Amino acid sequence: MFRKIKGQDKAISILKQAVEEDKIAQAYLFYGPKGVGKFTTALYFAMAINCFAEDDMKPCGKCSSCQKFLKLSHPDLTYVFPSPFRKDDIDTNGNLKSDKNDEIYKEFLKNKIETPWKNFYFSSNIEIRIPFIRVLIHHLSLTANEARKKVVIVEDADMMNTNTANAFLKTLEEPPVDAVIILTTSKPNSLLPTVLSRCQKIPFYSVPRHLIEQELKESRFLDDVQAKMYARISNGNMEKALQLAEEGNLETRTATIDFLKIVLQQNDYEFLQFMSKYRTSKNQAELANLISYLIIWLSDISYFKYNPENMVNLDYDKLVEQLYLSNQNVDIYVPKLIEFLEKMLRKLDGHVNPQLIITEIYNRFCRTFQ
Amino acid sequence: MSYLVLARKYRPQTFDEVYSQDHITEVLKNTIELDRTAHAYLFTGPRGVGKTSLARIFAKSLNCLNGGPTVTPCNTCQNCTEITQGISADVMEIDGASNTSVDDIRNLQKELLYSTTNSNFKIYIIDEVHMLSKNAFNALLKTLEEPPESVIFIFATTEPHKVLPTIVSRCQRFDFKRIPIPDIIDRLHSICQQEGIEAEEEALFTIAKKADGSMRDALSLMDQLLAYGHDKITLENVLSVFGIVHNDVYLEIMQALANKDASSILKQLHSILEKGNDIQEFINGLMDFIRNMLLLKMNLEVHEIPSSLLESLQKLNKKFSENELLYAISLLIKTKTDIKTSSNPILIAEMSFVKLAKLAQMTSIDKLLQQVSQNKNVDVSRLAQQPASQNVKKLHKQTQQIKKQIQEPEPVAKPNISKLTKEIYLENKPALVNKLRKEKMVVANYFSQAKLANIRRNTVSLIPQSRLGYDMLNESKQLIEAVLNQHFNLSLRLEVQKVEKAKSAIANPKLEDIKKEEPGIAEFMEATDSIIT
Repeated sequence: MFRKIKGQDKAISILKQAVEEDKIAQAYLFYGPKGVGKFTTALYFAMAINCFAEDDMKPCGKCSSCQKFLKLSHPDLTYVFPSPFRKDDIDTNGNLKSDKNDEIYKEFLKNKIETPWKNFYFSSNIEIRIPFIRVLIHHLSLTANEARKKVVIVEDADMMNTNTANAFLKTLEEPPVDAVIILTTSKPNSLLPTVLSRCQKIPFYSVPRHLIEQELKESRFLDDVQAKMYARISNGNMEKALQLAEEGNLETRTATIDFLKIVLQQNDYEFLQFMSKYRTSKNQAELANLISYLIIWLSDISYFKYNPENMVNLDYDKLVEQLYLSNQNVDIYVPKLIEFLEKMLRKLDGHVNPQLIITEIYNRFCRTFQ
Repeated sequence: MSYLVLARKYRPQTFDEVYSQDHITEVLKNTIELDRTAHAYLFTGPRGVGKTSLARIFAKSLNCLNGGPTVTPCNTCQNCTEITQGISADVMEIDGASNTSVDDIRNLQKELLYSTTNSNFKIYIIDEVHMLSKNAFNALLKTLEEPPESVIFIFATTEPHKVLPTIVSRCQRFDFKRIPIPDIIDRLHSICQQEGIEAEEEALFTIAKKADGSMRDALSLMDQLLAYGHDKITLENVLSVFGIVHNDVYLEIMQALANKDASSILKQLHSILEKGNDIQEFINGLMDFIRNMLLLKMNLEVHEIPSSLLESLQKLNKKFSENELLYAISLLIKTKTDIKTSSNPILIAEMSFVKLAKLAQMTSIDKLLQQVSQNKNVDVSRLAQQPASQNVKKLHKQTQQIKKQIQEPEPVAKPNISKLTKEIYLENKPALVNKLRKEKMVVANYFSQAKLANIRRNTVSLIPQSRLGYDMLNESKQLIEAVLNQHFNLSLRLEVQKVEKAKSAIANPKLEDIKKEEPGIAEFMEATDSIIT
């Protein structure tokens, strides 16, 4: 099963060895960029510890224990994640009191199990709050039902506020002997140093581009161009790549091409029409995608000059050529524009008006490709 | 028994095993020997230096059945083993961070009334005490000031500033130090011996350095190393596991920088990243390295670099000026913050390294000033040095002259012509502008900026620079015509042509334009990446 996780050989070899030699530490911290398989690895690791299979191919994914883990319904698994639920919403066993919340919770789990690449949005702001740590401590104090080791997975541990993190410290330092605590985070630096020092840290890395390409081609049956493009956009984030492959992001791609055509014609009127789409902040994600596409186009322009085979948008080479011909100082403007677009992405994250951003980009592009 | 991490397995169990906190252990030992134990202690200090461990040892020493209170707890009697396991009835270890409310304190106070079972003291260890709520702290105050006899409180925290001053004043406070590197190495050595692990001296040094004064961190790092399945701890292993880049690599990068070799720097960067090193860690390391170079340059002693490296560093140092090194560090700092927020950190790193490679092309401001002054025949540097009053005087003189020029335009002989041609127009343009200026300043300006398109018969057609210019000139057409007619003694008509599409080359000068006019400034702009807005 571990083979399903791509590009994390280092982490997996450590964990495998720990299982084989039965030297499982009390607390692990899986850290690394988003969407590279930290949670999945944590789950598989928990399965491997408790797998009933006789041979070395642990986890088998077939035995009853593995099945329960895969459904996140194993009685000895405590899964803590950032959620909008507060103190009054749960009882001491960690069950949600109201049916409505229970439904949201089930929906979340369903999404996590069936379509893990999809983002799930709660309606209110999320955090890991103290009651969940209390529940976790309570669970750990009980003896294991059927598992060899009780497993706690805390996803996005950086979402613990200071109170929660502090409440966790004592448990993290000296959990019961038959327990494993796994924290995952993409921002290890925002964790308390006292938390960091109590865990064994396992690094995760961005998935190499060619592995993403391969995965997309094999499991999602994408063609070359698409696989290449999604691999580039996702930037080592497998989750994002799958998301793109699943949802198909052709709309944004056409929008990008439209945008570039408008830039080449310097047609202000058409741009105004184009811009009106991005009037509301709802389209923020779409605009972010558009910008990442633009970055790819830009790098395509410099590839066009030096190394045309590496281009992503092979099917639109005419447009790339046009762009290239309108300004041939590729070495000078491409890095600058990319830096500029990166800055715009950050501003977009900071809730700057999307319309202003797209206008700024348009102006900058018009100046470059006139 | 199931596997225990090193940090727990080798938790100190006697006073002697607590490393490099002698200033505290001595005092505690003395209080036991002299029988002067206080009723409340506050242990503060960074993570992993032995606060909780020492609290437990102290509890054991006081309650040991073999002659307690004693400075050498036996660790075998019932009380000692119970305390180690955390199940003693008389030594309560409370998690201050999950029992934060007043109710928790009230429960504690109720328990205080009962006497001890079979030990000398009833000891409450409250860990992470800084997380108690304000109310909880206040509820504790009275008890803390005058607890029942034979009750001892030990508070441990990493953040003493969050503890109320009224609490602190009721406790004996002990500040734990960060553990120095040699002491950590000592401890690691002894553990390696007990575990039967071979370890290189330099490897242990690197671990100790990375642990940053915390023993627990050092042991966690050891654990991590052993988890990779290496039976021997070598420097190479340590570097590869923790993604620390070897000093030689930094040396090569700096060398490449000195040679302005951007491509080899990028190659190095990629090979580092391919090995799975963290980019942040790498930049931190490089910054450290440059810092060492800078310190060497200032003739300070740097203890952190091995002597083998010293010589090559000194050699390298000659190729850089202090300013360049400072610039490199500040650029790296900026890169670091950028990387944190960027979705494409590698790209940002690449860009900055290319920029760094341009370091050598950069000219210092002094040189630039010189260049500018040579081009313009104005000695900027001297101008800057002159006292301000002189400058003002000079300026005053100049303005006077200019004023004079404006006030008394050289009388221009009226050309006696029958037909206006382009040449004549251009020749007389300054005089025309001057005349217009007296009439209407704004119009004159737009007029002087406007280009002559052509002159057909008696129609002069102008192309203004901007839309605004078009409007202005059109508005005061009659005025301009009057001036023209008076000057040339002809009856001329003015035609203002629509503005051409704004030439952005002028509105937004490109690098090439500047290059043509001011090569020095263009170079400066390229090197610093500045934009004209």
